[in-house]
Amino acid sequence: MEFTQSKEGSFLVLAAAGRMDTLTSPEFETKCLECLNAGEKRLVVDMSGLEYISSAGLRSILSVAKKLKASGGDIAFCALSGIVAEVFAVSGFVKLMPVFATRQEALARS
Amino acid sequence: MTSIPELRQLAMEAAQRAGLGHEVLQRVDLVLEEALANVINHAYEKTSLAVSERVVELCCATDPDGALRLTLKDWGTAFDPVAVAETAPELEASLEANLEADLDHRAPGGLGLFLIQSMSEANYARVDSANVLSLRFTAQGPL
Repeated sequence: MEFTQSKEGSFLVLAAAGRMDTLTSPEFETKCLECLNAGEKRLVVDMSGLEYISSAGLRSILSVAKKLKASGGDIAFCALSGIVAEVFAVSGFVKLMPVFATRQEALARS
Repeated sequence: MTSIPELRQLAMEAAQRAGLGHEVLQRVDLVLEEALANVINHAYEKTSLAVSERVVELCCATDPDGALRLTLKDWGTAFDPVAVAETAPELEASLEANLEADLDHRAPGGLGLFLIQSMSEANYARVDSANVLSLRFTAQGPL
């Protein structure tokens, strides 16, 4: 999995690309915790380049969301497609997490 | 876990031979990972089998109706993932409770089983001393 990060106002945008599976999802957790430790508490994950996610990825997301919440931060997701969107819908993650169609919408939230 | 990519390759080739579309291929990919992860993480947890005997067997076949059938076999503790997924408490509620819970790492284990159930026609049987999980994928997707 590859990450590209950029600062947008009070948000840190992480664009994730590749596969978030059993083998790679720890990388996502590590990356998010690095951001949190660097003082970034509001994360937006742009998933337009993410081709695949499994329950291991969902568990990593859940774990990161809890840690951010405990630190007074939050995490949102945008630009999901294909199997990633399907997994988010089927698992109920769309209701559990803030999910936006576009990056602009994710950045427009308060 | 490191054997997952090789088994995945076998299944994806079989899925392509069965002529399944991109969307179904992605489901095959996902369901196989969930089923394998389940066996690798749990099937042999409570057995005294030697490491060399802790194996999982994958068989890929095309059914007469053109559907792809993956059959996963292990010789670990009896476990019916289909029944567990069907009788599990409301997934959303348990996720919500989990997110609200304090910094407790443990996410609901039913997530992978739920995805298997949602994205394939899954059937389980205990045959002799093996768990046999049959996963069917049709061009039309799950029912």
